[in-house]
Amino acid sequence: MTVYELFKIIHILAASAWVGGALLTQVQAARSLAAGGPQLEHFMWEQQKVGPRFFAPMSLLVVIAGVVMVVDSGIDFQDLWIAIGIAAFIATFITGMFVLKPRVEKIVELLQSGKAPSDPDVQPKIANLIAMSRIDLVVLFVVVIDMVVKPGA
Amino acid sequence: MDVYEVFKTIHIVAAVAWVGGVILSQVNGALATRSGEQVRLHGFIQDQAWLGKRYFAPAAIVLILAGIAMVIESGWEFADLWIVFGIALWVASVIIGAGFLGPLSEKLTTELGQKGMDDPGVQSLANRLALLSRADLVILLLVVIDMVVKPGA
Repeated sequence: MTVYELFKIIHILAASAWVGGALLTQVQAARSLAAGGPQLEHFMWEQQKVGPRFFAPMSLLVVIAGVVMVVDSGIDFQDLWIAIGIAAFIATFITGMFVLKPRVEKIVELLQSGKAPSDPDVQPKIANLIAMSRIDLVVLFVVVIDMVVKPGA
Repeated sequence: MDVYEVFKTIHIVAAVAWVGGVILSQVNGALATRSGEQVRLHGFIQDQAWLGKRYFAPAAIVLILAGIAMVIESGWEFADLWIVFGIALWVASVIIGAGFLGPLSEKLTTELGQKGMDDPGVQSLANRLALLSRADLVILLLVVIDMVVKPGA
């Protein structure tokens, strides 16, 4: 196994964990939102935990392994498909850390203060969070397609 | 984008959904167990029982169908070592998922609700489920490595 193959495996596994985890989260979000009550509270509890402990490290691992692959293979950072991948990574990393994470924390804070997920103060915030995370998921799938099709390569 | 690339994109998206979903499920399971709260474990097991049929099974089916279409379209041989490995491991994972993880998750959901998480029978069932799901994850990781390295290709 070459250095390139090793980092390709790390890159693909981390990307799978990140994108597949985000997709699974969307499915769980839709189900929890429809069910409401304890299920929605449990979903939000999970989201507060997995953001910093799972999605942030996976996204960093994706970009680090990706950079090593580019350097090792001699592919140019200015190639269109690499530029699209890096730009999308920056967009989704910023969205995750500075848009989604604070919103999750605010909702969990409201739930822990005794408000129900169906409370008029909480429900719109959850719906807004899920809508924003869907945009993030679309960006992630654009990256997957970009990495498969490699436009400009 | 040609026909092969279309099936490759579908195959990869399904694989990402499946593998990433399993990895995130492991993380969610560990978080629920470590919390020591029955409500967390119950919420997690309920999610898994629901996701098995509605998320993991469809992803596994789409993945294999797109994979078969890719082999036919590309001119690869089904007897090629890396394809044989991939199919064998897919079969093993589907057997574990549909034959054991699904039924065990449903049984654990029921028993957890009736007997609580301190019951020795429930704990034994939870441990068996955790062990099997980890074995399933190892199989999926081997498939990813097989698809990247392509031994014998």
